[in-house]
Amino acid sequence: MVDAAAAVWSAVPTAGVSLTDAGSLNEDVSGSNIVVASQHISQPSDAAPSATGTPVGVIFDADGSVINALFGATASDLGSCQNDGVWVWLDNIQPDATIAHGIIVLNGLCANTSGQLTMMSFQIERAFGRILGLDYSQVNPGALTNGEPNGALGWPVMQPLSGACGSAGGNCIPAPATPRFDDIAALNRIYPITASNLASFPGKETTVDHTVSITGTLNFRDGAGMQGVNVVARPLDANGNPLDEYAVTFVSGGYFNGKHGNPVTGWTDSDGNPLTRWGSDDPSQQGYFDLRFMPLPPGVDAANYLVTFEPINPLYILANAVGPYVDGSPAPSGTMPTLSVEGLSAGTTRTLAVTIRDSATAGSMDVIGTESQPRLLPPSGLWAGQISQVGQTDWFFFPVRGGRTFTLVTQALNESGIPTEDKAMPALGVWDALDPIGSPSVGFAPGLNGSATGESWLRVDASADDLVRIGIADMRGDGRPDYAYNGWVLYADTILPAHLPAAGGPVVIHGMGFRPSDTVLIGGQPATITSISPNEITAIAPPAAQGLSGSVDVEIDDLPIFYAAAIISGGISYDAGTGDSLTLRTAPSNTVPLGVPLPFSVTALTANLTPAGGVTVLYSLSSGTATLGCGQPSCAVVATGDGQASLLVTPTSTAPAVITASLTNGASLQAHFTGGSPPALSALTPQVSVAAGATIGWTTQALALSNGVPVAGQPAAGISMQSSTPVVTGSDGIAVKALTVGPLAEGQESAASACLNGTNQCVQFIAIGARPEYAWLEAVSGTIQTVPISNTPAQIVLRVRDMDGNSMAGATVTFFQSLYAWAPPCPTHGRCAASPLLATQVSAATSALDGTVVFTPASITGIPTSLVGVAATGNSSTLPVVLERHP
Amino acid sequence: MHCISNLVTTRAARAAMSLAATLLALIPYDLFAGGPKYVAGVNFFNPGVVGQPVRWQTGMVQYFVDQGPSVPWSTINKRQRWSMPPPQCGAPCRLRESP
Repeated sequence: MVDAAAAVWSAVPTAGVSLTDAGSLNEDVSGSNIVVASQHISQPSDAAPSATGTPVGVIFDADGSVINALFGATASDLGSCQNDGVWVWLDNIQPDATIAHGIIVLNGLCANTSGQLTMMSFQIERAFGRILGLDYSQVNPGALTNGEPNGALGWPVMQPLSGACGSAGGNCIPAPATPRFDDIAALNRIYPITASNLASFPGKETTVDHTVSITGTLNFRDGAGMQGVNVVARPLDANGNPLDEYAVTFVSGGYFNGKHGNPVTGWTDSDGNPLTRWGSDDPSQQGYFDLRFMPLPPGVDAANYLVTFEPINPLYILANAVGPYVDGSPAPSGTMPTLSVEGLSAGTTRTLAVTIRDSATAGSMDVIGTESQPRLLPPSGLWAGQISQVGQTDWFFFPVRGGRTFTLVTQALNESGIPTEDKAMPALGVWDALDPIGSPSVGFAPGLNGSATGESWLRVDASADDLVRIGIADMRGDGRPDYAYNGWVLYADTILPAHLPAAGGPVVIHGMGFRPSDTVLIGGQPATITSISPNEITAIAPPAAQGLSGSVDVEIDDLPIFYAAAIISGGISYDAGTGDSLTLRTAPSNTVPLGVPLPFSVTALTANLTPAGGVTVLYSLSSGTATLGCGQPSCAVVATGDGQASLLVTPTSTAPAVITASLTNGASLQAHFTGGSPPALSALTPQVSVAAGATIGWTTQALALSNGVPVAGQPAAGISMQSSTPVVTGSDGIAVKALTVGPLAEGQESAASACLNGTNQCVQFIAIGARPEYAWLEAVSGTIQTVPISNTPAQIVLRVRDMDGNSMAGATVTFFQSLYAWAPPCPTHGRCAASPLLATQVSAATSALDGTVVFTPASITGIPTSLVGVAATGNSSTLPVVLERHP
Repeated sequence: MHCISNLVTTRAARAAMSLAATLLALIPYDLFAGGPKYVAGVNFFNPGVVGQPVRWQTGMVQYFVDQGPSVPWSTINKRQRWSMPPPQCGAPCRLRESP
């Protein structure tokens, strides 16, 4: 059977090939004596790669143990005899492009039945074809269904997928012991007989004189060679009908490299060998086809030929690849012609130059960035690419924040812009942008690994703030004008606000790559989306799950087609979130006067020390006796936009008392104090900071006590202030007096006193002239808003502080507003949409006693706008305001 | 930063290996394709042969078969078994469309 298989090739009269059974190896190679090294046989020595004295070893692996030792425990599986019945490899190729050693292994487990032996005979023929350097080929693939009655007769010995055989075997092709014209022409091209070697092959004849030839090039309209197209030549009978049984094929670009490697998936094969080891890099070979040395049909000395061009079956990949594209051949671009070549007689050659006029064309902007100079990712996160040149990689970079997950997606397109699996195979890689050029990727995805047609998909977690570089390359390292794709990064950058009440509420997510079909999950619960643009999603967050508080993930999903997701880990919290904390502003401590309310003020901060507005600060009496401002044992205060919360605490006992201020995440502060001697009179508003030069109204308050108990409405409790008419205390013991303060010079203090009538027990109220040039602004609320046009934006509230951090009254704040027409984000290509300036407004306000100023945002009824504003006070303090009212 | 995809490996697992003077590469069915199957490329091969098919130098190739005891599935010597002419296809052997 082995000799018969070898004889099939030796018998080709126009090929300089002679396969000879030269005897036996020195041993029975079996599982008991084989030594495997890096998937080749190192022992027995006459089966090793270096055994050029026994250049081809044929091993009878009776029990499959040799195959298993080489390729894994189940490699000889009886159930896959159509694939593992015969194994073949070359293990010694020399730099002069010659073969020095090869091995064929016959799987004895696949030789038990007549059908299996029939198949094995065919497989051995193919194995010898491989030993001789032949590729598989695709000839008349639709012979049984396309009305080609003799098409199956043209199926070559080098048919991929073991021809028509399954594991049971049988006849894999008709007349399997006869090489077809396709086999013969392929062998002729590698081993032509010329005058110089004719004597070595008695009985044979020179190749060129007994065959006909057609060569040529197949090109895109821009001149680039079109590789991977099956070029088929069929002779015609006397009636002009194609003789399918004599068809000969060649895959265009068969001498050109079909797997170059790329920066994403690497430049080497699994054994570390450069992928550029195989195939020419000469561009003139990219579309070249070689149909030389075809036998003429029997009984004629000349024939007309029909030349057609067809795609390679997408199933012919990897182990069963046909042609140079091992990972898959792209579909031809444009309309493939049918050409007639007439009057070919033995010894003649015709050359064709075929340009496909309606093929894809490359643009001048197809090479996008370089690894050392990547381009900034388009703001929308969406782009259209074209990998039009061999070796091209598209490079981008963009910043990401820590704790984010983003998804990089590409979708290959055909010439009509329709997603396809038969064109580009974009492989996706990601690097830190500052990684050295040429360094390995942090991670990558092979081409077409997604679930959508033509989709490649890579999800990336960023643990820290980073600048990310991404690369998109064809997995084969290929590039052609018809390798178009859509690129997309789904990334969520921020969400506002950072905190939500338990009832949920509106949120705004900024990022890129958002699409109308996206959904949003907050804490795993779906949010109600109110608008989506590529860079912004507005939604209503759901209520917190029962008993839930703290940080939760925000996830934007593009499911189920693309399986893309963007996640902000712990991006928002119901009430206080992970890392939120409290800092102390002021609190009663040590011994404080009984009966006098004192502020316990804190600032809530996020993990990155920005104000945690909106969180709940719970004040509670942890021990001792005291009265909280709300009259209950515990009081909840919601922090303002600048994170501040305050509660009045009144000591009611001389025993030690502890008040705890805490967040829902457990962060807390305590005030420890002891009640001391109660004063007869105390100032509740003892001091105010006033901008120098300003005049303000100041409502002062004094509290009259008797043994720690407020004294209400008694004449004896009347208070004289600024030598004016006495003020009578109310039921709470508090006397209120409105004063006018200012203007004061910088640093000047102005004092007023209040005394109990008829006594010398007095308290002072002091106004200090603060330097307005050093005042600064902080946001309280409303400085960043995104609302639909149907909603009214909130007031913009700011607070002015003096250089010591005290709230400053009487300071002038100027607010400049520019109102632009709303415009969508800039497109990937072309100009940004016009965004004309509609109006400007300058307004000024004076800060109140607590330092706050309030502005109403400018708007035009019914018109979507983008407000860009800046508030200013003092010499150098400004605060930006951004407010979007989108359609 | 780490990544998830349907198939992701790190290129640490793809560390480059130097080429030996003689290429000792296992080339089973599934590794390379060309038309012919093997075409010399710009690495490893002499510059003058780049783009040429890889072939036996003279086309005259000797093969050697191993020797051994009779195999479990037969009582005949396996060399004899392998050397038998191909059997004829029986009734189950029916052509079908190549996938």
